[in-house]
Formats: sequence, C-alpha cells, structure tokens
Amino acid sequence: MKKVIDVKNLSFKYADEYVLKAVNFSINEGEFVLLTGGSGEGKSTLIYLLSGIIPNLIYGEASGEIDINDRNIINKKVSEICIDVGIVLQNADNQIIEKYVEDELAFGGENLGLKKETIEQKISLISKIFKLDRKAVCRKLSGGQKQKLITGSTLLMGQKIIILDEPLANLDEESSIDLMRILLSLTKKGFTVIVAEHRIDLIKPYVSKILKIENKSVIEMDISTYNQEEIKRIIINDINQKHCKNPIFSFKDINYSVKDKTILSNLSFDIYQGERALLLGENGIGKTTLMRVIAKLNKVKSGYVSYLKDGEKTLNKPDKKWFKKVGVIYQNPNYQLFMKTVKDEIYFNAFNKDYADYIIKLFSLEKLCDRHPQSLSEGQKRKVTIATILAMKPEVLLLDEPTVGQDYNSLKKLVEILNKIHEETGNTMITITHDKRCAEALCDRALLLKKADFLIEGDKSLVKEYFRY
Amino acid sequence: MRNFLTYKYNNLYPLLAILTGLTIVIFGLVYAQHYECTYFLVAVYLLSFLFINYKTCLKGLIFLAIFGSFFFLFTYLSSSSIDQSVFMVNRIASFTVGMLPGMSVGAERLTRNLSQIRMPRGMVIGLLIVFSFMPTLTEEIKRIKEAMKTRGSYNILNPKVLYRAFLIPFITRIVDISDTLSLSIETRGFDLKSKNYTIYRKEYLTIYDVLFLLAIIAIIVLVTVL
Amino acid sequence: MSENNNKIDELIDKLSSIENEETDTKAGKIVENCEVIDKESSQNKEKIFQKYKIKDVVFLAIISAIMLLTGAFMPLVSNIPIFGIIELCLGVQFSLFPAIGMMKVRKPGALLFMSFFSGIVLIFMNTIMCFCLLLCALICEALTLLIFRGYKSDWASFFAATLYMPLTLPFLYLWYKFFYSFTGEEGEAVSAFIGSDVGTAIGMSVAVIAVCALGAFIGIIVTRELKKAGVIKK
Repeated sequence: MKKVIDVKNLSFKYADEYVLKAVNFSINEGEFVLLTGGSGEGKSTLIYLLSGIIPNLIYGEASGEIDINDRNIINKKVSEICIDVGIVLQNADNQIIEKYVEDELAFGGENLGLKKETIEQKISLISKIFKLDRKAVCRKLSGGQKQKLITGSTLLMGQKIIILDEPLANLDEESSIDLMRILLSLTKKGFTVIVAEHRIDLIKPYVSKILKIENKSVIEMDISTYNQEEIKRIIINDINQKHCKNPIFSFKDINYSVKDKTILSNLSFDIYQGERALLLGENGIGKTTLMRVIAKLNKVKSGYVSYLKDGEKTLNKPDKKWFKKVGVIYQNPNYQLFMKTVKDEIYFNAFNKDYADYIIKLFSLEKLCDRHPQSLSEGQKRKVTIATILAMKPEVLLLDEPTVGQDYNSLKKLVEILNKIHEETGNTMITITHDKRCAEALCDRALLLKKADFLIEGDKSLVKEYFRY
Repeated sequence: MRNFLTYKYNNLYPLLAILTGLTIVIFGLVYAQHYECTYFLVAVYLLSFLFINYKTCLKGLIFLAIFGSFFFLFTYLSSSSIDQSVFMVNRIASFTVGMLPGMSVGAERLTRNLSQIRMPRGMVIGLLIVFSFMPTLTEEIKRIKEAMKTRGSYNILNPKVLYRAFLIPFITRIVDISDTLSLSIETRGFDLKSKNYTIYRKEYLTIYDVLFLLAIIAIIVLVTVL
Repeated sequence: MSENNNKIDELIDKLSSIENEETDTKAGKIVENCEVIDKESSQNKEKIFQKYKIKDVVFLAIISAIMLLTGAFMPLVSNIPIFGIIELCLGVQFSLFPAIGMMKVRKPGALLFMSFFSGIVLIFMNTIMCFCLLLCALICEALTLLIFRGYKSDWASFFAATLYMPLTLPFLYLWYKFFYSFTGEEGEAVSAFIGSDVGTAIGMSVAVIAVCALGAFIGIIVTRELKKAGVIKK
C-alpha cells in the first residue's frame, strides 16, 4: 500500500514550549484514521501542521518533515497544500459564506478554477451523498446539515486526503453515523480520512487505525483494546444527601419551538430542591434549550413554575435577583469572562469577599489571579467561569458541559469541588454532560431526554445504561 | 416568449438594478422640492410591480407609510408648511423606491456579478462576508447580552458595563469567528491574487433589464419635460 | 439500510472518477507564485505599504458588518433636519469599530476597505453619506500616512478613527448647500437645515468630534487590552 502521509521527526514549538516533539508516524492510502488524545494535547496542532495552516497562518516553529505524496510540505503555501489535503474545521456555522447550498458547495471548486461542468456534476453527486437540498438556504440548515455542507464543500475540491477536526461536535447520533458511513465509503474508494474526535465510541467501529497523542508524541494504539483504557471513571464516595422531595422547579406540559421546529413538547417533570440532577441526551435533542428554559433565558408560554423565593412568578423577565439565585454556566466560557484579572472576575458580584477568596483557594487559582482571563487556556477559562458563578453562592447551579477541555486530574478536582460546594450550601445542581468519566459522580437523579416529548427519569443506573459502562 | 405576468421575479441584472436604484434616489433627491417628484416616484413605484417581486414592493410601501407619516408630522409641526412636509416625504420616498431594485437582487447575485466584472477577489469576498454574517453577528450580540445578565451586569447603557461586560467578550468572539472563517476560506483554496477562478453561476443581461431601464429613463424625461 | 449504503458507494464511485483537470496545472503556477510572495513578504516588513492577507480582509469585513448593524437606524435620523445629527448618532460606532479594525490590521487602506464594505449597503440607506464616507476615508488615510508614516503607532489609528466621521460634516454641508441652491430656495432651506444659528452648527461639530474621539479611544483601549491578553495577535 502506498504511503500518503509520512511524518518524520516532526517537532513543533509555540512560545518556547514544545507541543509536539520528535513525532513519527505514517498513514497509508485508503486508511480511516482516528486521531485522539486529551484536550490541549495537540490534536488541532497536528491537524493544522498536516494541512499547512501551521506555520503559514498560525505562527510557531516547526521542524522535521511532513511528506504528503512524497513531497515535504513544511514551508509550502496553504493554497498549494490544499490541492492534496482537504481540511474540515470545527464550527461549521462560522464558515458558511454563501446563501445557497449549491453556491457553498461550489466555493472550493470555483477557487481552484475547475470547469463549470465539473463543478455542476460534483454538486449534484455530493448533494445526493449528503442528502442536502442544493437549492436550500444555508442559514436554515440544522447543525448536522451544516457540518455535512462544509464537508461536502471540501470534498468537491477533489483532494484524496481529507482531515476532519471534531466533526461530530454538534451532531446527533443518527447524523454522526451517517457521516461516518460516508467517510468509510470514501476510504474504500482510495480516499484517506483522518478524524480528530473525542466521541470515540461512535467512531471506533469504522476506523482502521487509531493514533493517540500523548506526552507530545504520537503513538499507534491497538484498536481492539483501546476502549477500556479510555474510560477512567471518577468514583467518589457518596456524598451526604440532604435533598428533600420538595420541587424547586416544576414543569407541566411545557412546549418550546423555534419557528416551525418543535424542540420540547408536552414535557412534565420536577426538579427537587437540593438534588444533583443530570440531564442526558443526544446532541441537538434540546438539553441546552431545556436548561435555558429553567434559567428563564428561553421563555415558555405556560407550564413552568419555580418555587425559588422571589422567583415564584414564572413568566416574568429574569432580573438581577434571579441570576443571583440561579447561576448559569455557559458551554463557551468566552461569553462570561470580561474583567481585567481573574481575581476581579471572581470578586465581581461575589457573595462576599471572603467567600470569593475561599473559592479561589478551592480551585487553586491563586497563581492565575493576576492573569487576564482571556489569556488563559480554554480549560482554565472554563474553570474560572465556574469559580465566578460559584462565588455568587447561587441556590441553583446550571452547568452546560462544564468538563470539556479538562484532563483527568483537573476533572477529578472539579468534580470534587462541585460536590463539596453542593454539600456545604445544599444547592440544586443541574448538569448537562457527555463526559462518561464524571457523569455518575455528579448525579443523584438522571433525566434522559429521548425525544422532544419523551423524558425518562431514573437514578445512577440510568447513567450506566446510557453510557454503556 | 414569456410575458410580464409569467416573468420570474427577482431576476434583474444586479449591477443594472443597483445603477437604476441610484438613478432613482439621486433624481428624487434633486427634485424633492417639487411636486413633480411625487408623480415621478409614484410612476416608478407602479412600474416596479412589473419587474420586481410584489412582496418587496409592498414591504417598501409599509416602510414608507410608517416613516413617511412620522416625518410628515414632524416637519409639519416644526415648519407648519404642507409643502415642506410633502417634500420631506419625497426624500424618504426616493430612498424607499430607489431601494426596491437593489433589494430585489440579493447579495449573492450581486457579489457573483461583481466577480464577473473581475472586481478584485478581496473586495468580493469581503462584501459576501458583510452580507452573510449579519445574522451570525446579531445572534452573537444577543448571546453576549444574555451572558451579561447571568453575571449580574444589566445596564448596557452604562459605559463601564458596556466596555467590560459587552465589548470585551464581543471583540473576543469576533476575533474567534474571523480566525475560523479566514482559515476555512484559505484552506478551501481561496487566493487573493488568483486570476484563475471559475464563476459557477453567471448573471446575464436580459431584455427585461433593458426594458426596465428604458422605462425609468422615459419617466425621467417625461417628468423633466412636463 | 444496506441499500442506502450501496447507493452512497455508487455515488462516491462516480465522484472519485471525476478528475480535476485544471488543478494540476494550477499547482505549478501557485508554487511559482508563492515563492515570489515569500520573498516579497520578507522584504515588506519594513515598508509602509504591506500586502493584505485573507485574514485581514475577513476581519475588516466582519467589523464593517458590525458597523452597519449598529448603525442600521441611519435612514431614520438622516432625515431629521439638524446639522450633524447623523454623525452624532453614529459617531461612537463609526469610530470605535474602525479603530479596532485599524489596530488589528495595521496596514494602510484598512479604513478605506471598511468604508467600501459598509458603503455598498449604505448607498441605499444614505447615498450621500456613503460617498462622503469613502472620500473621508481616503483623506484620513492620506493624512495619517503623511503624519504618522503608517499605522505602527496606536495614535495613528486613534487619529484616523477620530477624524473619520467629523470630516464628513463639511462635505455634507457643501452637498446640502449645492443641493438646496439647485432648487432655488437657498437661504431659507440651508438655515432650516443647520438649525437657527451658526452656534448650533459649531456646537454640534464639537460634540461630534468629542463623541468620535471617545469612540476611537475606547476602541484603542479594548484592542490594547485584548492584545495584551493574547486574543488579538500580531
């Protein structure tokens, strides 16, 4: 089999710190490769190196050799590399520039100067492969369709090596499987596919090779034994449960839809005071929407009652008082950080100064106190956001994927802190997570959102069943 | 041959539509101080129904009805002259009627058309981004305002709050979005200097475009002469 | 399900059989080109005029979109017959965001690019204002280049962003003077437009300059802070 990618002694330094050191691996034609590794270990860096984004568009020092089809691409221009290598970046939403699907698909082909007829032929094939309506308006597509659109747009350019960076991040199970099947078919026809993902369980059945980035180098893993090693669950002693059976939020036949798309329909359930509720469900099923309804960020017409003091009137606009009681932690920490230093950030609207200091100590943020929040790594930013909201000592804590970007040790610490605060303050914690490692440790009761109108309630065993431990 | 009734709307040649729109605006503004301007605008508006999607035309009328009457009242109260008030409405109407051909075109067709006349690539892609990122940016602004509330900063009119709680996250997000977008554009083979690119769908001048332009010129000549 | 898979296989088979004839020849061209570009870009570092990259254009375009979004009420205020009302209402966003754009890109022509990108929409909101802004961007750029010889200093961006909006005042005034006299009702209309006395006009001008300076200043501060934090690079 022909080697299409051959990496020899590749090192990459960013701001005097090695991200990758003396990396060696090769990929053959027609292979389906899963690239994995903890957050911040260098998955994106490696992908960017293979596609020439580093060091062309993002600066850093690269040394060694990356041979693609026997040509070293280091120090070659992106516009040249992109003829051999197609890359599909994260956040499809922010990459669509055309109004109609067919124009977006054509974009890459137009840039390469392909013949009009060739583009036309390819558009008609690709729109069928990805089941996209070529006349549809891009903005109206769902997250999964947008991901497919951007993948299709890259595919049209005709490269035989395709790299995808976290393509399943916003896809539900069905679209994920769809996409994986298409990628698998591509590899059968001589395409080489490299996917960087952390949703390994979904991808594993399709791949032929697993490369793991660990300690700045790349190791090939054995596919058959890989899974067991990956899930290292956090097991903590059961905490002192104080929660009672008084509902703090009560839902009766709530409905929520955006334009003509129904997201929640006729759902009824309660959240009890002082419990740790875990919200489970596939991507795009409506978990975040449900959490936003609880936080009053999305309004429902009727059926939602909160028994929080001063918050009885359900449908009024959330005010300052409300958000002092209900702490919301966003998925993307960039929205909620704005002060000049981490210390100011945690002091801002904190319960009191002493409590803020206590939180800083709990999170061991002392060293970062004088840093600008926006200068931190994604994982650190997330930690600071959680600390900031905890410092307000809210009665209800809503966490949307709080553990993304945390390695095992920091995750363990985070879970311990959340549980400690929960024990101390008796707050009600509602968490959305896909993180197998910590789901059980943050849960007294699990709510599994199956469909817009179907929610299963259960205990830890439901978590086990859902994650197939 | 297609007749006007079966003619597919929103098919004006983009550059010509813009040019015609501009002509209407400028002529309207120059003659705003005359009652003839009103006749001119009414004639052009009625003509628009033949060439432009009626929904676009009706939207224009609604806009004009609301803001026209507001400014009519405003001017009448401040100058107590009916003439001045009508002239004020003329000015607003010039913009509204002039906007109709442009509005009927759609940004993607305009940028395609500009590509066709070999406008520099950077300018074309920039315009495309301006048009297609408005909704994304509106959404971002909404989300940041929300996030501000969750942190307890409410008063966006307070400069300090505006600066810290709004601008800092907003600009951070903007930089994020623009980085992703430029990487995506570049890895999809876009090159500022490239001359060897295809335009997958082209715009063509049709007989209807010529008719539309001729009709507008005829109205201008009629109004000026009479 | 397997039928579906077969269909996809078949489609992909067809897709992979389509060859990109032109791509290969183009690859050669690009290689030649990019060597030239690389040489140029290394020489360019010291020059005032630097080549624009895609990320510069994208950032400026997004900034222009924000300017337009926040200035979408322009057609409403543009018909209020008070001298400088447009500039006063739009001053902050039309100085703050251009300042950020210039601070990030730091190349001559950034202001002109932003004026062009927003101009295509403004042309229908307020045709005269659109041309005024293009002209003023040109003048601002020229003045900045003359005084600061480029955009290396933050003050150059501050200067250009502050001047951008207020410069439209005299041009708008000239336009309206010409425009109103065209209809033969010169004196009365001009005074109605300006306000009752010259004092108002001067007052408004000062206010506009102050507002724009404030906007530009905020823009500079934000960019500096984010640059320090590493959000805005280079």
